[in-house]
Amino acid sequence: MTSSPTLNVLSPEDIAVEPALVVVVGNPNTGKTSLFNRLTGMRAKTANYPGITVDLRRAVLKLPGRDIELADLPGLYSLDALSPEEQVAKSVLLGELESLAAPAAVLLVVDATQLERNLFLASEVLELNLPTVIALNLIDAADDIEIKIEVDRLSSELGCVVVPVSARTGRGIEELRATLAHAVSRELPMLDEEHQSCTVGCRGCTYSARYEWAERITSGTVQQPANASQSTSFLDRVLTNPVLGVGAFLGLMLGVFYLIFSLADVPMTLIDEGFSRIAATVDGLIPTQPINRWLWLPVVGTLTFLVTGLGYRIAGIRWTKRTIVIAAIVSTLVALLPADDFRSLVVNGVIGGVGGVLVFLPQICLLFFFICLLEDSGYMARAAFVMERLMRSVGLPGKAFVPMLSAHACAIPGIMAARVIEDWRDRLVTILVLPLLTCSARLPVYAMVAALLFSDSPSKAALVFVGAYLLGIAAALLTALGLKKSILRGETVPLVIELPPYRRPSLRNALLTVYDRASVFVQNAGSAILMISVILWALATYPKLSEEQLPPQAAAEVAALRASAEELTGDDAETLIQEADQLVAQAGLAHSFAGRLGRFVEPIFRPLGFDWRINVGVISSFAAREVVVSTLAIMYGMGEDAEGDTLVETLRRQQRPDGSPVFTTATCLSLLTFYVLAMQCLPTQVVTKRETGSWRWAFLQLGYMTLLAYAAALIVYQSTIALGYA
Amino acid sequence: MLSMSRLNMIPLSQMSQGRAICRQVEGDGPLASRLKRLGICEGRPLEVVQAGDPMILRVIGTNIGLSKQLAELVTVEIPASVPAELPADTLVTAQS
Ligand SMILES: Nc1nc2c(ncn2[C@@H]2O[C@H](COP(=O)(O)OP(=O)(O)OP(=O)(O)O)[C@@H](O)[C@H]2O)c(=O)[nH]1
Ligand SMILES: [Mg+2]
Repeated sequence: MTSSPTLNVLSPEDIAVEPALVVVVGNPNTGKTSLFNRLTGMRAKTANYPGITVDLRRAVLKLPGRDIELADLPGLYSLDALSPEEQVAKSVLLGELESLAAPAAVLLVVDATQLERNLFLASEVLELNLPTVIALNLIDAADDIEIKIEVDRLSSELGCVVVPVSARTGRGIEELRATLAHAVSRELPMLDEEHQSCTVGCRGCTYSARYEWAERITSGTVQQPANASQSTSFLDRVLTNPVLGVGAFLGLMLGVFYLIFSLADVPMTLIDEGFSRIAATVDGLIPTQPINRWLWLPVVGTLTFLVTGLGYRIAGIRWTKRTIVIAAIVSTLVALLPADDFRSLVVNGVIGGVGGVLVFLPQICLLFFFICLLEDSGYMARAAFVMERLMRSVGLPGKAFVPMLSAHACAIPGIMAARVIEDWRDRLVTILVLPLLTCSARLPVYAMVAALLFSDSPSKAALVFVGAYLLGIAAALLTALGLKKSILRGETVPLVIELPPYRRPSLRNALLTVYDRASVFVQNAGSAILMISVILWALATYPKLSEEQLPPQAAAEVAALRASAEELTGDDAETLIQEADQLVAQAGLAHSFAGRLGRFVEPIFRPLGFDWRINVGVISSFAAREVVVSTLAIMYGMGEDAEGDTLVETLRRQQRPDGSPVFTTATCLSLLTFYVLAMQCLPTQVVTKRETGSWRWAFLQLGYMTLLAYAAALIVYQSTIALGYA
Repeated sequence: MLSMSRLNMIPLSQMSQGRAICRQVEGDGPLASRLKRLGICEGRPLEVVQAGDPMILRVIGTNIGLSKQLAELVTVEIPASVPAELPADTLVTAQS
């Protein structure tokens, strides 16, 4: 749980009494989270899209008498609980959740501008006969449109305390605190008699009975100006228009994407450069001369232990016997590494691996930011509304559209945005197909292939990009259809969505959300990335090839290069020495586990036109697809930082043992197809696991995408060959 | 032949802009609950703000987007006092 440590610290006298659990319930979008933040001063997500809060947020609230623990629940329309979020809210409310105590009291948040509608849920909650305090929120907004509510009368009608508050202006918050303190110390007046069900003795529909009850209560306590039911605004008519609305939505999204890509550019470069600088600094810090083992061992061991501890902290892993032992073993192993290997592990494995993923953080944050602003303004409900018809034709709900668009920058925010889809099956299908959409990490691969195929013609190269995007979209939509017809069979739940009034989005809310979600990403993906980076590093490094073991041909070339470097000076010598080093690196990679694996799987990938070096690229980019470009650079004897042009030229020159070129049109197209469709992204998998609650779905995603990528690349390669393009 | 009182009962999906009273929601599964808990249930008034698929309804002061598939589950009665607001084509479809 994401409760902040300072809020959880209890002073000794508090420990005697456990804080009483008070749950914040209410209709979607009534300001529960805003009120929760007001009361506890804690960060939590607030957004103007019904049903957005998914994670339970809790915080201890110090009150005179007894402390309470406040839990912010997802919004719900009724105790029918028709979505996973509502299910969670309901089971917490009814005390059915094992990890959580039964609530001692309920803080029911109702929207003062929508009292009648909100009283429906209120009637259900009041019948639970838990001590209940009603917060009449958005009272400022009600005042603005001249809705007057007789609070005392309402309170006696409902049989519980009603406190008018505004989470925005802070009005009534102190009184609410005091009332909550009373509620948990069981000093609440008017709670002695059981609440009578408003549906007792009524015939027919219980829903109607509740609404009739709500109507009766509101008519006695609320005064609305005659013109209260204002007609829909001009803006809304445009935004919900079947044609103009779709156009407006696409235009808006285009703008958002343009902003994301242009704004993310600078921070991404900074992060990239920052990590190279850190790598260079660390590289310089590690001594090159052999040093005393008895000094090296404890220093490196302790440092590694500290770094592991930091990793645990970030990932929220507790110190237990097992985790301590693991950290100790890792530290010892690392300390025992030869100095050169240690250097390579730190510089290439850890810093390079983590940096390679963190460069995408700016894009992810910006995407969250804009999505949150749009949600908070109330616009997202309109977007789901206008996209409903289009999306239904592929068996997905309209709400799946925003996640699918987001996935074109990065699958991770897309998967998290899928939370707005109420139906579990629809949500799962959306999550499973999202990584097929072209994310920005694929662009380096596309760029490489486009340059290989058509470096002379920018328009044809652009065609490669368009084709790849379309392939991704088509694959995602068709897979969604297929999943809905097979393992996740079921009707798409048709749209019923509240279109909330437009509200000015709160910048603070948006920034807090970005912070929340970005930390989820770093916490969950960070530790997994670190681990897999180290594993992949080890695969590409061991077993080591010393220079004496170089294959004769390579050894001769290296010796020749070094000899001629001796005779030259300055840049020319540098270049030759670099070339020699590259040859050594190439031979080393070929000798490593990764290289052997590449050869081992050659029969599997040969039908796709991949040679063993491409296979090494595929294997090494398992956790992050863009890595394939730098691996190919090494495999074909370039420096890792080879510029695009030189890399492409080198690749073009590569020949198979029989003298034919490696990167033929067929191989290029097959490679492109493979990278459009293959999973090749560990952070996405981790987030899929988090959002679906089980590795099963993450593995299914990996499995089907890999198979799909293989089959499609196979078809593309073989048919291109059959068409006569070698 | 439909009697006059039956003539005013049409599926919500065939309504154009205007007010009506909800008379019946078919079924009692989760789909029907989705509607009923928002106030689209027997005897409650509603107003079509924008027809189409999906349509926009106004129920108890809130705008609700509703897909046609769900609107088909709902039978509404158009109050006799406002027949003028009914476009001719609605009546034709109602009879067929
Ligand atoms: N004017 C006004 N706006 C408010 C008030 N409280 C919340 N809001 C706004 O109402 C919107 C919804 O607030 P949230 O706190 O996300 O509502 P919620 O009940 O947590 O929503 P869900 O978790 O989606 O059910 C946001 O745009 C808030 O800024 C208030 O007292 N006055
Ligand atoms: Mg909330």
